[in-house]
Amino acid sequence: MRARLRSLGLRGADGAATLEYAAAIAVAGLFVGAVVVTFSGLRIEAIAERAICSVKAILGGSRCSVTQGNQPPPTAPPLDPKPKKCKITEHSEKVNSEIKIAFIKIGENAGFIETTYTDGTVTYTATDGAEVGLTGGFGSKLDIGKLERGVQVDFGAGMSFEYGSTWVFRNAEEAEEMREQLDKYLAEQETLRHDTSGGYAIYLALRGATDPPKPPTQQVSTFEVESEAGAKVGLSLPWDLDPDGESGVPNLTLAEAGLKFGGSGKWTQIVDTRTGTTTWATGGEVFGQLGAQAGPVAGELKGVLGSSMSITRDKDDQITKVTLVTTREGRATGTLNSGQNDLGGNLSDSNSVGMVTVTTTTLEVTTNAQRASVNNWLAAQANDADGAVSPQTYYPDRLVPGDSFQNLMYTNATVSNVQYSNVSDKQGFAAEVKIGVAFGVDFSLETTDSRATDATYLDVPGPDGARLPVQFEDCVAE
Amino acid sequence: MINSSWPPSPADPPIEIGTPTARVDNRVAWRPLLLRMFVVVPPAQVLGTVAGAQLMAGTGLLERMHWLSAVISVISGVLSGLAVGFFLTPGVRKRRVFALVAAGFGLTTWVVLAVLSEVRLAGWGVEPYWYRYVLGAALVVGMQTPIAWSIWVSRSRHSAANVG
Repeated sequence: MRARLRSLGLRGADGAATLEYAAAIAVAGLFVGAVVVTFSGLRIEAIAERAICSVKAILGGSRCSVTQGNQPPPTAPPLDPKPKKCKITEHSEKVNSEIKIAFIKIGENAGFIETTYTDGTVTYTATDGAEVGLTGGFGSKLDIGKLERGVQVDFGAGMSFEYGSTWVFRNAEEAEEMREQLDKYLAEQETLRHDTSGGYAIYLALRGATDPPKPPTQQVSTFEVESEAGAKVGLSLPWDLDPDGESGVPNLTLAEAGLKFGGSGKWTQIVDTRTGTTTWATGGEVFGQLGAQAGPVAGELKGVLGSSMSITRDKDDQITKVTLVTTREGRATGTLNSGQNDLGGNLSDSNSVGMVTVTTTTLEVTTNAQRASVNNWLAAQANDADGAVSPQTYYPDRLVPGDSFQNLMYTNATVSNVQYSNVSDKQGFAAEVKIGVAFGVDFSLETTDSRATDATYLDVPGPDGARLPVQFEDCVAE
Repeated sequence: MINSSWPPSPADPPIEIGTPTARVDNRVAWRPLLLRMFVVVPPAQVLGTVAGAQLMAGTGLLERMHWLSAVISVISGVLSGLAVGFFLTPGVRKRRVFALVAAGFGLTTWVVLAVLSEVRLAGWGVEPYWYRYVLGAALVVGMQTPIAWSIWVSRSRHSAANVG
């Protein structure tokens, strides 16, 4: 064989050996194979998957991607009072030509804010270079104005995402994989764009190109509700417009004192492409806290620096979650109704100087009965003076007789209180929390000049009917 | 035409004495030629492209200096030229035909690779861009032909020297 091979080069080209015919057939076969793979290779995985599913079905296994029928209806589990997650760390990571992908002139203004939660979940939020270099919390790195203007963050190589778009990962490894994939993808695409001879294109086609990263899990947009906004923008608002109101603006008001949501008309819509849910978020304003209007709860609302509310609906437009967030001056310990001044905004308390507490109340709506209660509560906001978002609603540590929504929050909502010390700019801090809500990010933020020093969550009701605070160590940064 | 230069070059055909009626066979055996070109040129080009890209991408040079992608085509042409030069041995009078056929195969192979690549890249959402292959084709053929030619000449001289 070796002699025959050697003779190929020396013998001249006047005759062809059998070996050459065999080699020619092999080369032709390779080319035919390449053509077949090229034109159908992209669907090979799908075909293989279908084939495997068919075999499984024949062998008696379950069919793939088919929902199992006759499943028992979900029952409402007993309340686990511990909130699911609480942000513990935060840092920005700039993706630009100097740092991450040194060889690419891309992403001058592209970056991620990486956020890690206690349950291991990691989120990347697209932002631009104007903010990623700044110190401070989430809000200081994100600009609500840019969100409202629909600013695009350019990552280079023709890839751009809406400002504030967020990717959610199960863990840090998954997030790291995505970032590496993005780096590799951008590098390949950028090289391909500058490939002047076609050599790299051929190589990439032979080797296989890196897939682009998956689209963001959450796409964020902001809009302002004006008259007949629902019809104009084609959006399904989280509740019906006020039928008696002339403006048609969702208008959640309180009669005596409490929080009024939706007054600004500015809403943020967060579409989660992974779950198919849509969340609307808006800021609230304290109503009735001025001295002239001092009522039974007015003092408790004095310390409120900011508040937000979000309503989440699933792909079938059913409400699945209600979240109320308030930022107040004072400590996290104690309860609103127990009369402790430092949680109600006693500004003269020297011990609470520089302390801010973020309270997050989350109600997972799982049953039709709960859903009906929430819908009634939402519908009542505009017209019913008793349908107030009272302190007892967003901090439901005790049962308020006759208030069905408050009762629902009391029995089913998780409530966390995270206290931050050394907050120099309390209003700015509260604004950051609001922006966090607007961007669909969980709160309890740690900044360079403030630290989470104490955290509690409300336990299930005790024998005396009170939900007492329990230490929430996961939410306190080490 | 009688070669009047003296001493004769080793590359020149041997002067045949005593057989005035003998004629040099200039006919080209097309079938084995095409077959051998087919076996040699496309694999060499693919191998050269992969090797070149691996070299460039592996060193990180390509990602810093995009214009170096042309080196991939150059390496492809060099490898193809070496393969043609060593695996085909045309007579002196057939070199031009062989070189033209090799160039044709090189060009055809490049075009086929370009089409397959663009189809595959389009499947991944990459916009087609055909012009880049023009320079690549020129580089491949431009490198392949002179290299193969010089190898043929060198080998011919070498074998003539051995005969001498």
